[in-house]
Amino acid sequence: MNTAKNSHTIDVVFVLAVACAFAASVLTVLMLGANVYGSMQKTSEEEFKSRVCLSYIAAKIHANDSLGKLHVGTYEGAPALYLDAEFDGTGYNTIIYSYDGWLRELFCEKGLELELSSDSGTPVLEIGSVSFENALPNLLSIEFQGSNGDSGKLFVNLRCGGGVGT
Amino acid sequence: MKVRSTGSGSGMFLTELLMAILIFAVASAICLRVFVAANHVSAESSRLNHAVASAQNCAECFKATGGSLPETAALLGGAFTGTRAIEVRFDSGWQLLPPGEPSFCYVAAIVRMPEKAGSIDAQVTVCDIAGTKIFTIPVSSFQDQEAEL
Repeated sequence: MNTAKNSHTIDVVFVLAVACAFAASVLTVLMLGANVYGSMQKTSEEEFKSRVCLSYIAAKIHANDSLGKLHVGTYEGAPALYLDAEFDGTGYNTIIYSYDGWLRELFCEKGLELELSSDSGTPVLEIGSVSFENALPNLLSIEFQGSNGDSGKLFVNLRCGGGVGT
Repeated sequence: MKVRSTGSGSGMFLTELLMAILIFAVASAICLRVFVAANHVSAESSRLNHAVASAQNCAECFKATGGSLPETAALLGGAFTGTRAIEVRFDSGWQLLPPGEPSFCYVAAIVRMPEKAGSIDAQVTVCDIAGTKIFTIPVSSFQDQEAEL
């Protein structure tokens, strides 16, 4: 009688153990899948920001690649790239800079001094910082720092042959 | 008279559970393969992105210097490997390493091609430490044609 009771208990315990092992396996596979998806998403997002930021600036430079139309400087202390244009006899600047964790673009009349604030400029992309440098008279160096510490560098050769002033 | 004890039902439950585990094992094997493949594709994609960016930088510097390898090497932080080639080394995170650093993971090489009238040509190749080509791009620096006219 006792033996029958013990074997009955063992049966139940064994079944429960198998069920627990099954549940643990399910959880493990789910966690593995979630981790893989999470890391893929994170990598994809970081690469997107870096690639898009540098590609956007490169596209802007190529669109304004004329002699003397590009200037590297500062805008309210922040490293900035000035792209000159003229419409109806009036000079305008497109200023690309980073402020408050965002890559921003400001289109304004040449010489108009606007106070740097979170309202000035159109936010383009969330980044850490961006800096510009004249590596050569016809070569611009753009360095990007992401908000999560990743960085990237891009060199842009000016087809106009020069004219990157300060 | 022996009283035959009826089954507790755990036998049937165990059978059903084992069937469920079997089906789960098959499904999870497929899922795990997919996860591994997805991770691999993501890593390859990231590697290719960085390789393209490095190759683009090499090409832009080469064009900006008019095909001068010493100036290009100075701009990129690379080193001469011969009279007609330079290489730039990167670590596993695609951060620039000092020239000649032995423990590198990736390398971008600019190899100058034989001379051609009117242009200086080169091939930019990005490889990993095993020599597997990741990305390659030709680049030409055209000489000033006004001088020819």
